[in-house]
Amino acid sequence: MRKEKKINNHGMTAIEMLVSFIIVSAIVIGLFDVVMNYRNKQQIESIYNSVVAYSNSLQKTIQDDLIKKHVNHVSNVQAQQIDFYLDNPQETTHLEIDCANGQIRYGSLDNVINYPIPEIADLTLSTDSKIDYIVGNVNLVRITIVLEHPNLENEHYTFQIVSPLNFTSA
Amino acid sequence: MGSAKKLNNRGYMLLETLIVSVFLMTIFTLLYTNLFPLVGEYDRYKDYNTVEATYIAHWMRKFALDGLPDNFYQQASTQGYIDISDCNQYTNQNMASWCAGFTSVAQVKQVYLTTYSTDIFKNFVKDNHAFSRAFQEYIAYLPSYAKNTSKQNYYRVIVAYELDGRLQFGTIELNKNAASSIPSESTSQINVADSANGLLTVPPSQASQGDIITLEATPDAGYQYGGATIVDTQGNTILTLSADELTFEMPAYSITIIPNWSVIS
Repeated sequence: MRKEKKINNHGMTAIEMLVSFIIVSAIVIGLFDVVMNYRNKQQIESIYNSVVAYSNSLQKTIQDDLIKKHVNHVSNVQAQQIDFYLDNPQETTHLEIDCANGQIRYGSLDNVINYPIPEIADLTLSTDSKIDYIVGNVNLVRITIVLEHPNLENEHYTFQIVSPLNFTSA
Repeated sequence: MGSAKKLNNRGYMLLETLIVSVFLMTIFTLLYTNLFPLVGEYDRYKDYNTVEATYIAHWMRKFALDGLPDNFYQQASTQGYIDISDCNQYTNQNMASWCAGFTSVAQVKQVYLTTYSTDIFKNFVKDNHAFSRAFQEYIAYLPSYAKNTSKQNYYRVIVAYELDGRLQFGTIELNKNAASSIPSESTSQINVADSANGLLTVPPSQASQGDIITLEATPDAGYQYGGATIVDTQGNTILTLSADELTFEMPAYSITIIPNWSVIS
């Protein structure tokens, strides 16, 4: 006599497996997209932090001289360079925006220091960077530095230094 | 007798998958909804109290210290805040000009003088549609500084300025007890170059911008004063005086006077 093999109901159906696989795949793809977005954001923030650190360091260096040493007047003013005459102590400092080499040069005439922009791929010192010497009832200088990178907001980061010249209370 | 219904495993894997999926989606949704506002806040904070904003607030503080009459500080103390954006209010000394020039170049939009504790000003700005949303958010972000009660005669200067199409904000404390650190008059050095055939003296050796300087020429025998050349510290010629001129107006920087002596014909 042949023994009939009893079929049981253990295991899962193919339909179950297929639907489960589709659900899990959809979740993974959705989460992968979110994770990649945050990873991109982290890379962008890393670039932004480097740029901000550079801008803060440069601003402090230049502003400290202009304020604490009292900038008296300027000369040799061009679109991307200027000389500051400081009173306390008396000295002349030179500022130059060197877009070709991606650096800002600043310091006393006999010791101009190079401040290269952060070494980040595609980060450049824009030719929109400029120095404005404003003459009127009072004289001021405005230094605008623009750093360009495709991942930055609006693809650039701008900071500026505005300083009165020979500020006195009279 | 009825037979017990046998349970099978059909559908359990799908059910388990659905339960786990719902569980995971709930957790990630909770995480996302809580993290997303933080990311938005972090982006906003980039515009708050930057180094640049602090230096702009520093200059507005200088103008306020030197230029605002005392009644403005009394008013700020009484009502908790006062709008000092209008440079015409800086009537002392020549701060109105400095304020107007600086705010124009730096694109300063709003300046407020508040008490050291910002509680009153925060309540004023909150839900006040006269202020932009960005300004309201910045003021809401500021600490109240209410716990520091030792700061007598201290105030706060709050500035809003525009850079690259975005409003940026900064604040700095103002000590009304301190005098302005800028001297009321800045003097520059007057040097006289050594020269043969005569002696040129200039009292005093220092002067302020705008002062009238009078030269004293003592030529040697056979020579006469032939004018002078005035140069700055870099050797650039600023002014040339003729033989008839012995006075000039002092510029804002140190100078050297090079006298010319001509032979009496």
